[in-house]
Amino acid sequence: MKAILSALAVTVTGLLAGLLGLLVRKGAAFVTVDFLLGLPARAGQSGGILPVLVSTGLLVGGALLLALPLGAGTALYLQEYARPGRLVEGLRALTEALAGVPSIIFGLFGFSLFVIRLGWGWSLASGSATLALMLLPTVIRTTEEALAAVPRELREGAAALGATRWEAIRRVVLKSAASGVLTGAVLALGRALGETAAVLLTAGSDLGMPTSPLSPGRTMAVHLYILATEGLSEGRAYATALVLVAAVLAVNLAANLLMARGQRP
Amino acid sequence: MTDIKLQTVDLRVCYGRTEALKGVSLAMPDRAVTALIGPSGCGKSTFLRALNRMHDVAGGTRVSGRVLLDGQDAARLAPEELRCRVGMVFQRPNPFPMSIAENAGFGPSLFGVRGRELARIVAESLKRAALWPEVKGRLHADARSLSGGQQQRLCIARALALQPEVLLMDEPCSALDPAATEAVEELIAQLRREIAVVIVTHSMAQARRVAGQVARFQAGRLAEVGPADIVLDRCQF
Repeated sequence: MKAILSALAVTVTGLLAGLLGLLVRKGAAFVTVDFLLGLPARAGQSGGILPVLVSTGLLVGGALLLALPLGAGTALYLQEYARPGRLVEGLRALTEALAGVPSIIFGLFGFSLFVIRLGWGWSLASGSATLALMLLPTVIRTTEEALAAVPRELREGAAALGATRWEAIRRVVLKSAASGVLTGAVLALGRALGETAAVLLTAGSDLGMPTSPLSPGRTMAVHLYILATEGLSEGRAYATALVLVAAVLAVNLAANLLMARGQRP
Repeated sequence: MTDIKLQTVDLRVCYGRTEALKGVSLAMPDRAVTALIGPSGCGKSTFLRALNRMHDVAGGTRVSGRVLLDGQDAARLAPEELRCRVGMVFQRPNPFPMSIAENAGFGPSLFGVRGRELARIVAESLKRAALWPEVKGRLHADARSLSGGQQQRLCIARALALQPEVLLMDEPCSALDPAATEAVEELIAQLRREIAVVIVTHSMAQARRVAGQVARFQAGRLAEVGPADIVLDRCQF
């Protein structure tokens, strides 16, 4: 049995390593300074991906800027203020359910609300808002878990020193939960970086350099998708994939470091 | 007879339908230690936590009866003000995830004390808690890097920083080794010259060492109260 399981483990790890190896083998040659900092030409068949990197950063940054305060605020309410009961359980079940909804559904919703109804068109603003909605359930859940893990003794200790509930939360509870909250944020960031369908539906796929929140933009994931499906440049598709994977890995590494820091006594 | 600092009148606490404290009236003198003893689940910690309205924090409890601080109804004070005047030290050391100095100064900093004044209070309370010599060179180290006994004395320093009139201690030595226990007991012996101390303890020996008055609880009621020697000599458990 042990032999079978170890063979399985080796195979799976090998497959994952092979995936990375393929990206490196087919894409590494194209990842140059000119590629990273250059403007694309001929629909991405040549040139670089600078506008794509900028669009990705703005879109994902905007999404986090929206999702973190909203999600953390909601989690604080659910965990610290709301009386346990049907309403809270209902809200919690709803966020759990939303976490399982396929991202394309969020894309469709964002398309009809932000792109059409609010008239933001295909834009970074529409994309960020849609991504934010998609990330909210994750942010809420990880924040709630981090808050729930704060020992009761710390809240009571703060209260016993004359702290009001908000002072106890702001100065002790959040400090204690910070690494958990940050980890959730970083996981959300990873998800946002990789999202394709919902972004394509709401931010469009324009290759130009964005000039305002209402500019359309093309993220790395979308760029990769289009390069590959349109058969524009296999090498550049792999190179983009490599940059994207590097970004996601960096984000996950950061999450692990943060978690390790949080577990320090 | 010394002055009465803290007094309860028919204090009752219910957790849901269970009545954990069934009407306790007890007077606790100033500048003296009152030890609360009795078997587990007899209501002594529940009683202690009612004295600074700690039950309000967790919720799910109903408290009735009165707590009088200097003869004044504690229910009329804002809970934050009451807790500044009646400090509390918990069973397990619970330092906040911040530096030693920030822990010790936490209470005063809530009320806007800053800078040099705060540093003075921090040093003074650490000295009162007999922790100063051990930590003066590393005030900005994480408080959780201290040993258990040091953490508990830091928690005492933190409570003392607010200049409380009463200090409630919920089995403060139960998580400590004998040497650390001795240090905390010496501290209590100091404190009883200045303020009222109410301590829950499982140890008869500790009650005998530190307390002037002993109150024995039994099944949510006050079974017996009197001078430490008399009550403890009668106890057979």
